[in-house]
Amino acid sequence: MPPASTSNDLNAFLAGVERRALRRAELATRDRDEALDLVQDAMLRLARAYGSRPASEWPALFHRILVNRIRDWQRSQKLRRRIFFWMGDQTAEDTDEDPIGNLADPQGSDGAGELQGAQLAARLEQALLQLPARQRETFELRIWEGLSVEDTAAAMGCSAGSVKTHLSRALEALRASTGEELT
Amino acid sequence: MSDFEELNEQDRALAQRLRAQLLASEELDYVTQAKLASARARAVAAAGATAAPRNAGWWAASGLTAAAVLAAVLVLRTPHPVPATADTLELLTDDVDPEFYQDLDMYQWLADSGAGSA
Repeated sequence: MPPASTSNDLNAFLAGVERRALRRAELATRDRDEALDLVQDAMLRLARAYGSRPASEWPALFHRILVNRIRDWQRSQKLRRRIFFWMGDQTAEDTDEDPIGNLADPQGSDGAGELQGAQLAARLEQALLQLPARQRETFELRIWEGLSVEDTAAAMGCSAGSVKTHLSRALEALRASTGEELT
Repeated sequence: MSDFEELNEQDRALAQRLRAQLLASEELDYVTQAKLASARARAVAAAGATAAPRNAGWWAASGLTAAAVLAAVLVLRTPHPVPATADTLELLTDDVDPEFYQDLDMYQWLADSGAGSA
């Protein structure tokens, strides 16, 4: 039987995943405050429901929770936009801002090399935004988070074969959209 | 973890470059870091709070058992009220005016003093 997890274990695990989780949520929501809410909610749900489970189970559980919370948020936003549209207020449809403009400057510096790095990151994030949701989730979990194929499948609620298929298509699309700069 | 062994050589190289690029973009400002730390602290506290009721449940069960035993002892040691006799029931169910029973002491006094016969 795996050893019981402690508060220190949970704190260390969350500290290790929180930044990337926030960046992923921010990429999906294009809003840092919304992203913080989603990450905080995912942390609380993990702690309350699975805090006493072995720490080895946390990565797949946490990312499963976060993926579901992001999907819920996107569904609610889509419904909200439709309601505004039906009510005749088309401003909600028209306010699609430049996603790159909303992304925080990841470097916070004006050095030429760092600026180029930030531009590359922004370009990559824009390319990620163009991917179908499942391909983007697969790429984020398998490549960005570094989860195993099995944990990625568990987090997404699909088979390992689906993960490989989504990932292959995602990489193909990213290669085409990011051009030579990143590939 | 980041070997991406399921990918062919070309895709693996691309995946590793993209991953490096994304990891380099994870720097956060201090305010956001503080918010994340606060959220994490709340989550860790919540995990502790959900674990606590397991111990609290034992204490609550023990308390309820002790209360039940105490209540049983008190009930058993308390003298039971005497069951109503047939005479008492007759007093409660007959057709006599209730005021008669309220003035019963005075009638008793009149009988004892002989005033009733005067």
